[in-house]
Amino acid sequence: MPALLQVKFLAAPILAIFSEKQGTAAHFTYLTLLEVIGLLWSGLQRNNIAGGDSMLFISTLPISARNKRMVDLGILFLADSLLFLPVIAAAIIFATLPLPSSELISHYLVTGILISLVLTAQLSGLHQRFSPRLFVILAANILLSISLESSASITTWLLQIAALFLALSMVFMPESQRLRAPRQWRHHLLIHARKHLVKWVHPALGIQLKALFMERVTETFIRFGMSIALAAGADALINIEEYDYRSLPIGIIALAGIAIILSGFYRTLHSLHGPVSEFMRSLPVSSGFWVQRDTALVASLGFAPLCIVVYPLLVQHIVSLLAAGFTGITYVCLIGLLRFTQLNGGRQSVLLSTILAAAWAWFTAISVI
Amino acid sequence: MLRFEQLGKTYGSHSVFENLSHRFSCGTFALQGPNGIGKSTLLALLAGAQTPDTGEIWIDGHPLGGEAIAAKRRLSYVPDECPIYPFISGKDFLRFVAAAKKTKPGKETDDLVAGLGLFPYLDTRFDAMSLGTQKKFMLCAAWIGDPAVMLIDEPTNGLDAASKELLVRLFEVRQNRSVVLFSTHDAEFVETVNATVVQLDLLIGKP
Repeated sequence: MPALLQVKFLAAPILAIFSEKQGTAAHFTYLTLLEVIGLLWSGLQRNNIAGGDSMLFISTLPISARNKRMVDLGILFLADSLLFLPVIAAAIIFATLPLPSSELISHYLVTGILISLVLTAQLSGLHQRFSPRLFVILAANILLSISLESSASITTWLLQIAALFLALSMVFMPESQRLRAPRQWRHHLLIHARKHLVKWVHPALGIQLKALFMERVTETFIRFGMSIALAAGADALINIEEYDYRSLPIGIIALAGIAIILSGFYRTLHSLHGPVSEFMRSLPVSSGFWVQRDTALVASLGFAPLCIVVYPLLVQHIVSLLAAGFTGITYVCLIGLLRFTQLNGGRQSVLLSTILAAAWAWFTAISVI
Repeated sequence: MLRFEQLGKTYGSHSVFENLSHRFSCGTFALQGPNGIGKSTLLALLAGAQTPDTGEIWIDGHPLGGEAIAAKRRLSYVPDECPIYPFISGKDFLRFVAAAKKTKPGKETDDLVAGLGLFPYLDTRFDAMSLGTQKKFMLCAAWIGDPAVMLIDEPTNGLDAASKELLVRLFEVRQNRSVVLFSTHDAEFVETVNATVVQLDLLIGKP
């Protein structure tokens, strides 16, 4: 494959913005989707980017909000380095396109605005303060979407400059105290819901639920949302292919991916149990107390995506009940085994988890198909 | 009720104890000694929170190594610091400890919660509590499950005068049916609870 073609392939997510007249709504949806992907990307690394517990001390130091914002931005740039690959590739491709200079500048401008909007969304996510920045991002998306459809160059420029102004003002403007104050009704509703969430469950399960749904709520929703989205995506793909011979492999591969995504919860729970482990050892519980409970919890979180993937395959008679049961049981075993690779794999944990999930997918495929 | 023999613990090249043996019957005992001598380490070892390199510990007749669950069901441990999940409430913590001991917080614990003025904090997250309030919850948890051995590291740290007074009364009630072994630098408290002083530096032969 020629080098430029590879660069073009890498730039595809950005080039798609300029591909053709798709309609304002389609542009708006696509831009929002890219921003959501950026938000998910930083959300998964939120603790590392935000500085964790050390920020409690740093917040007492006389550092201005603007400087803190700049530090956040610098760390985000590093964390986003992989996301910048398509942007850099697109910048190279733009230079090779036979475009008039005004259109070329417009392409660079739109890409720059998009980066600013993604950073704004990520900064808001980092501090869990979405409104009113969310509305500003959506307003900028609307301006950009209209500008991409507009044929009058003056209108295009005006809209893009307005979008750029909105995006940059949000990126560099520190969050004011007024913006940070949570709405009282929402705050109380959340507290009320959380209090009752764990009232009727075993205290140990209550701790696990609070760990995931209070302490690490963003990560939990992102991770669980990704697993549901992957399951739904697999269903959609299977449906497009009209339940042909590829359906079952697609379903199995999706389940392997879901297991890897969900197994990240082991690291979350393990890191929260860590500081309490010494006190836990003084209690009359077995040494595998949290191991068993965490595995059961993560496996139970995998039940919903499993149903989403397997149910249509069952209804369409792609798999028998026995094969579906076998797949389900081995999938739960895979989730259990992934605990070992996630917690003991060190720097190779992702690689080892992927190898394990791939081995499971292969084994399940040859057993079921 | 509490017995340990040939206990040894080493951190890297630093030996904290070697061949440490002792036995305690019912009563209140104050573990004393200079800083860094190993008071907290000994309490953590006796509680099973840390593992000794050598030796064995018996809690109410159950060996901590061989019958860990049975032994730990008969003991309670309060470390100096409060390493509790920051996102759980005081009530969650007490329920969890009670569930681990397969019991429910009894009247003694309820009285302690009331006496230490903890009712307003039952639904407060641990990380939103002061260190003193966290310590009070840890002390309340120590009274769950009628323990035969209570191991308490610096019980008066972070406690106000009224709470100390209550703790003295509770220790007095406990001393006839449990071993209450605590480490402290608070000489006045040791005297008030009429505790037998155990000099750890003398016990391990490092006077």
